[in-house]
Amino acid sequence: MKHTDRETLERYVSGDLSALRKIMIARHLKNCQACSRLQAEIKTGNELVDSLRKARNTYMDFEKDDKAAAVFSSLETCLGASRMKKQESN
Amino acid sequence: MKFLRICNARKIWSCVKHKGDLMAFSTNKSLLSKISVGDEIGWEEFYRNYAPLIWLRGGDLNLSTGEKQDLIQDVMLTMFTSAGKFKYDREKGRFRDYMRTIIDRRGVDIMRRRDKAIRIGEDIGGIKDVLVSPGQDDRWISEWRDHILNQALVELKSALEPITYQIFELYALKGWEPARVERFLKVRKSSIYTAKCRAVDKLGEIVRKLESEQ
Ligand SMILES: [Zn+2]
Repeated sequence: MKHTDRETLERYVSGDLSALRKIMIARHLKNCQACSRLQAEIKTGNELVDSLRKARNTYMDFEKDDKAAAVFSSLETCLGASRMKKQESN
Repeated sequence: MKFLRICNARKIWSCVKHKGDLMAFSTNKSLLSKISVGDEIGWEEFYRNYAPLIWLRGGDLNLSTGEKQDLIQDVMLTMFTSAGKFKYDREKGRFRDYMRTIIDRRGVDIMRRRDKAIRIGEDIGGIKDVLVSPGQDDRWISEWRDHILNQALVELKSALEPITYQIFELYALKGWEPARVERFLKVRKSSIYTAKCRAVDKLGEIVRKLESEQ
């Protein structure tokens, strides 16, 4: 039995294959534990990427927020950031 | 607390963000790892990594925008000496829990200041209820997870070949169709899937490492 390679499985999971290829792979997956395991790993990886995308968007909102950025300025004063001042003058 | 030189904040903030990228290349040791071994940490680095987390936690505590600004400041001033040195004691337990304790305490202080009816020393049961209301633990865990993922992304960028990261960013993070990535970066379709696999494997590895450092 010829196993499905990871790239093909990635394409299968993301729906980027012809209808015939999809049917062939689906049939193979029914009978092959190794490829089914790899498919599950790919799905888990995709879930991680989904979480990362959401986390990144949340933080991008913060970075775009002028009010959030303003805190840095006052902290610079409070915590005596002479290094930052040096950088500014350079 | 009054905000000084706010007009200059955007410029400085951009500088810190830029510096953050450079920092990722200059050290293999993540900030959490430095914290866990007691290395000296600069407040700018700490701010860049933790300010969004504190801001989000402030939202859970129903603080206003101005109060969330105060919260970031108050937490930072609690965690750093006036000379800008980080003062976390490893004996105090897991950093994630320590961080939440500090944020929540400063949050309660802010709520106390807001609610003039509650005087210092008096029972603050009503305010404390906010901290233990349903879902607070789950929200904190989720915010901490977002924090770890954002740190992992910075590390991922420096760990991968630039082209691999670019493909991952466009295809996986921005959701571009493979054909569009192919045309834009002039790469073959197979390289897109290969790059994505490599990036996801590395990302998982970095996330596991960061979580183990807590
Ligand atoms: Zn197989």
